[in-house]
Amino acid sequence: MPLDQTTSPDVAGIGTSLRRPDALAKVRGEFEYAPDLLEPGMLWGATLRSPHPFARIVRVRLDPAKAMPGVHAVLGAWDVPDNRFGAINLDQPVLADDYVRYEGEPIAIVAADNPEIARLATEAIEVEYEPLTPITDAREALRQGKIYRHVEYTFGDPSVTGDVQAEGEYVTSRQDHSFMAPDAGIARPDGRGGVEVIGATQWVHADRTQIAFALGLPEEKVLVRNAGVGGSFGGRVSMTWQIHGALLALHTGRPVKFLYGRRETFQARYHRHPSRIWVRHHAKRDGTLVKLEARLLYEGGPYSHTSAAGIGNGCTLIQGPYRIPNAKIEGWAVGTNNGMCGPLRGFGVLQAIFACESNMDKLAAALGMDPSDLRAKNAIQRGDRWIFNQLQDRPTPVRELIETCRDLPLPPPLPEDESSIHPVHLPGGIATPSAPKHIRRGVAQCSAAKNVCLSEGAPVHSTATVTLRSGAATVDCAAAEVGQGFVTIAMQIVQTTLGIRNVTVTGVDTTMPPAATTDGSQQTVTSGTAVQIAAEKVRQRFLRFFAREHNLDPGTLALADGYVIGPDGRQLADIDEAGMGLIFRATERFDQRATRPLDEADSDAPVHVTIGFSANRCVVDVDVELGLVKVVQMDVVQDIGLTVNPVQAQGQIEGGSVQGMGLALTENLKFEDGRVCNADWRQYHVPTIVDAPDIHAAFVCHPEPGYPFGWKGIAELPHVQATASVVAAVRNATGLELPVAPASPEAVASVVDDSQARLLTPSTTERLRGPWKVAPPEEPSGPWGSWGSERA
Amino acid sequence: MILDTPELAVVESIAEALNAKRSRPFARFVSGGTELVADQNLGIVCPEGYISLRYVSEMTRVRVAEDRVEIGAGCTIAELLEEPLATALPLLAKAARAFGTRQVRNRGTIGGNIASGLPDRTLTPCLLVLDATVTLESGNGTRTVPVRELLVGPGITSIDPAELVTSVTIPRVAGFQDYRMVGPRNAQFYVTASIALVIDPSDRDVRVALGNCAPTAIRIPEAEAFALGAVDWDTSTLAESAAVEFGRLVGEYCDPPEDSAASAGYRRHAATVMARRLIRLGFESLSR
Amino acid sequence: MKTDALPDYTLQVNGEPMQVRGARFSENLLSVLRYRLGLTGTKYGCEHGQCGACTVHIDGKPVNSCLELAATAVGREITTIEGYNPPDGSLTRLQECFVRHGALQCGYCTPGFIMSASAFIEDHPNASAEEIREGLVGNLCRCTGYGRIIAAIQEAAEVPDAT
Repeated sequence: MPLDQTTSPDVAGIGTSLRRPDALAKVRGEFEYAPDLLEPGMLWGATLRSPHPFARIVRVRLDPAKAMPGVHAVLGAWDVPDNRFGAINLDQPVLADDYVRYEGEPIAIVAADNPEIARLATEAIEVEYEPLTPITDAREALRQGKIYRHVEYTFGDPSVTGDVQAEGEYVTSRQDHSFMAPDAGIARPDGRGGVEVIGATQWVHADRTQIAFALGLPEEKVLVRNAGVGGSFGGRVSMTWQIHGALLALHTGRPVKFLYGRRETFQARYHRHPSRIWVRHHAKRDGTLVKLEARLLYEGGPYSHTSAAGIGNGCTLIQGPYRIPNAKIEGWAVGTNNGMCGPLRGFGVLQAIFACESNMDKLAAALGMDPSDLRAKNAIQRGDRWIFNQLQDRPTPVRELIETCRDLPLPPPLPEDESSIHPVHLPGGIATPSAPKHIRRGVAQCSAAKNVCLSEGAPVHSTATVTLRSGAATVDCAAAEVGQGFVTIAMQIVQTTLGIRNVTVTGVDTTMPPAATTDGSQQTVTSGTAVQIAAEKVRQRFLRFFAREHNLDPGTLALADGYVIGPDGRQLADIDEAGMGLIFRATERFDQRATRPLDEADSDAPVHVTIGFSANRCVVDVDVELGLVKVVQMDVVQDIGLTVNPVQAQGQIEGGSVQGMGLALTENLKFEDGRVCNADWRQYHVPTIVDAPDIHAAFVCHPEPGYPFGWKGIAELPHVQATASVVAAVRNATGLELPVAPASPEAVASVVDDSQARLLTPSTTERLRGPWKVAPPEEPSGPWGSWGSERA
Repeated sequence: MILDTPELAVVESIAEALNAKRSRPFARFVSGGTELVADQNLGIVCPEGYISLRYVSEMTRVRVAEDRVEIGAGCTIAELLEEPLATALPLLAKAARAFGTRQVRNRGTIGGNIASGLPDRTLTPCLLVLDATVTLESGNGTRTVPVRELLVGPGITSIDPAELVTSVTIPRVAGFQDYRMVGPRNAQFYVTASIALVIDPSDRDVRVALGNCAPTAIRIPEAEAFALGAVDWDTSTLAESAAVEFGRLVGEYCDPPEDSAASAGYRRHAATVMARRLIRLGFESLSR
Repeated sequence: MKTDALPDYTLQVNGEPMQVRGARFSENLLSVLRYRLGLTGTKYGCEHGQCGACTVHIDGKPVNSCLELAATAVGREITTIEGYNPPDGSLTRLQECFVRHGALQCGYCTPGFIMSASAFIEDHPNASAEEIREGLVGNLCRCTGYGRIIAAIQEAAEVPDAT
């Protein structure tokens, strides 16, 4: 049955494409986001940031700024009661004290009457630096022992080798979240010695913990609330302005607003860990995988942030969705001065899947096998053990996904008649020098696995309160809505459970018990489950009440379509009236199953709560000579357990796929000598409406055990595999190795340098060899064997 | 004048503009603002004042004659896509279609695109290849110079700070004229490299210019000279090997930058390929 | 220190005269609309003309308000999303299409798209998907992948047959 393509306000419950409750406000521009917050009497904040990637701070003089008219406060490191914060480890200063370790690191903050004065005040602060030599290369960081985490494990018999082997070294670049709303918010004193911080975050409770800690306050004195969030994609996990704002608000006694520009939003925040991954697949001649070897090097920033979690994800899901009986895996997360790194949709796994899928295609070529057949043949199955020693004990439709996806109809080729083609269909777009005779079409299929929920012992739980009164319900849950549509899902869950339509989801703040962070594709399966359990409790309490009032057995009653339904299916009473104005309420907590760190090999617990699967078939048109690429179409088939909201689920596939395409072709936040080169949207290129291909999403639904409706996390998989899929399709069109994402026009055109620029005529049918070749390592253990030996 | 303050003057005539500049030497002329105000917002420049030329009607006049078109410097890029300019200047219409976004085209002006001096601007290769001339006015009078004389270096023009670009005069040309470009994605980008080509059989002329392949937009006289000799003007044909050589010369005689968007080698390669393809396309369409 | 204010000026916004007091010469219209006039429906995305979240109409033309020096807009008709909206709280056909097609997720780009698209469909009745792609290039979206935005605009651009 085809999926809904439109939303409606008149449908209700799980399985419908209920319209987002905030859609009307958003389309009228009346929905308030963090950058929109305004308050009478508010001051404006500004931040002095380091111009150096690495330097000793010799002296800071705040007085010249303090003396300026219109300036109400200027604060430095010593004004922070406990100058530490961090997403996991408290290893990052709120304001740099003795050293600055990345370009853009905050040193001092100002509150002033208007943004212009605030900015000028930061420029008046005098700082004396002693610049030092930054570490700007991950391999150098490894050599110098700047290691946040070293992962090493084997599975099965690591001495096994395969008759056929393929290996490669693959690189992914630094990607920026580039959500549309820049960092912003307001902090205000609450008049009782505490502070309220209103902004846009994925996790209000984690923010509160860190703000309180840095301020030396008990958590009860800090309230964190979400205003509207303009996109997140994993990028609002750690704080930028929030502790600064709280400090200034308490210091001045007034609300303080921060609004970062787009450049500051680039510079102040973290980005996806660049990666360098060596992979070697071993197989029998019939294509059966026998061993996986991999070494993963993830580049983090100068503070640990979430790097340990990222490399853990990568070192496990480097396996891809394949059955592999033997493995030898090693990985490092290291720190450089190239700016902070942290989660971005598909955290730590996008890099690994890119390497895995790129190398699987290499293996297929070595075997002389069709790449889809190779994948299908080796699809992991229920009952298999992952190489990180986790039993795959739930539905595992990988083969089904690959085969379904592979067999979907291909788009028609470009017409022969050039004049009938609108230039948006051509690589290069309007005014492109490309014409059909210059273009080769490429097709490739990838499949991917991604952990759903935070892993390796991170506690993942949510608490929700559901209240029913007079036929209407409210949901209180601290799950951050960032655009993904959790608010709609929560409504639908309560609609189905309580048989009503009128459900309101309230805003998110720390007066509520904690919910899971909006990360790891985990909100529906964690907070959604908590909402469902709470609603179910309310349902039972309501039916118990009704049953007692009417001398019935509550076990024979149901709630549906606004009515209490009797044992014979008859509508007994309107839910509204039947409630008699009473309040029915429940607060329930749901915990995901416990997971273990990778290193705790003896434990029975799984490493990941659960793992999701998807397949992507990508079609590209490539102007081979100029390296221009037009992604024509992507077809995605994904197991989502249960389709809660068809339009929203497709929206996740569509948006994620285009974002993944961005890293495949155009997105690369470049650093040189520790300095960012392209921190704005003129020079950092996200996909435009012309770049975006047609995306078709299809779902299979194998209910996930342990959840009342069998739902499964969706959001990250499409992004993860789109990067792999797009580059694979470009390889198919060009015959080049393209081991680096993004595959820029320069790489795809295979232009090495001035003197070796090759001119290709359209009649060339010879498959091109890429400029980059992997030489087999001298030792069998991989290319960085000698480097990892120096450990901190 | 619409507004007359020490830091901002909004003027209605060229005379007012020049006067405003005399009393505010630190102020920058601004028309569309699509480059200058963006740079200001990014903190790249910090103007101490502005003189807005938005409402100078003298600078938005268009005069279409049989042999040439005179466009006020204040004409927007969007107007290049409308009549009468779209028909009178098809090359500029092609470039205008590829220019930025609708929002930017509604504000960006021809004068601004020239006065910028950046080597990646959309219109300058087209103006070079059309042998356009630019009229400038200042307190010392008026001068008209070929566009090429204004383009000195990357972001550097020979326009005096107290001078105003008031109009552009473009000879009309029949024959083949086209503009192509490559960039880091498929829409809305600053060109990695661009090319404008004119083939005028009536004059037996081939003219080619590149964008972002040198410190300024440039013509490639070496390639043009080769083409003049290689073309069979009686049949309007060019041998395939000559098209290849033309491309090679275009690539050889440019001097592209290396930056975070692309290497010099790729730009040179792109110029070579685009030139070969475009001249081939040009002669194919002429011989039809 | 350049913080001298301009004399008060009046901008005609959504049919109403609005006083701008104490603004500096370099303030752009986006800033003035949002922080001096409290009209936060127009969104701040990049402030350098790349994303279109700040799109307003000036004399009916869609422009990036971040690139407009606010004081130069004196005497023009400025229309923001607040002025585009039907005053009774309902939706225009274009807005209804966006909502029905699920063409928004976080919604931050949406007001800019509405302002851009409303001008676009006036000039392009029955626009094709290709024309919509070309015409809306000045508006970025990070959440949706654009497909549903194109479908919404395409439906809104349909003009019923005269026959």
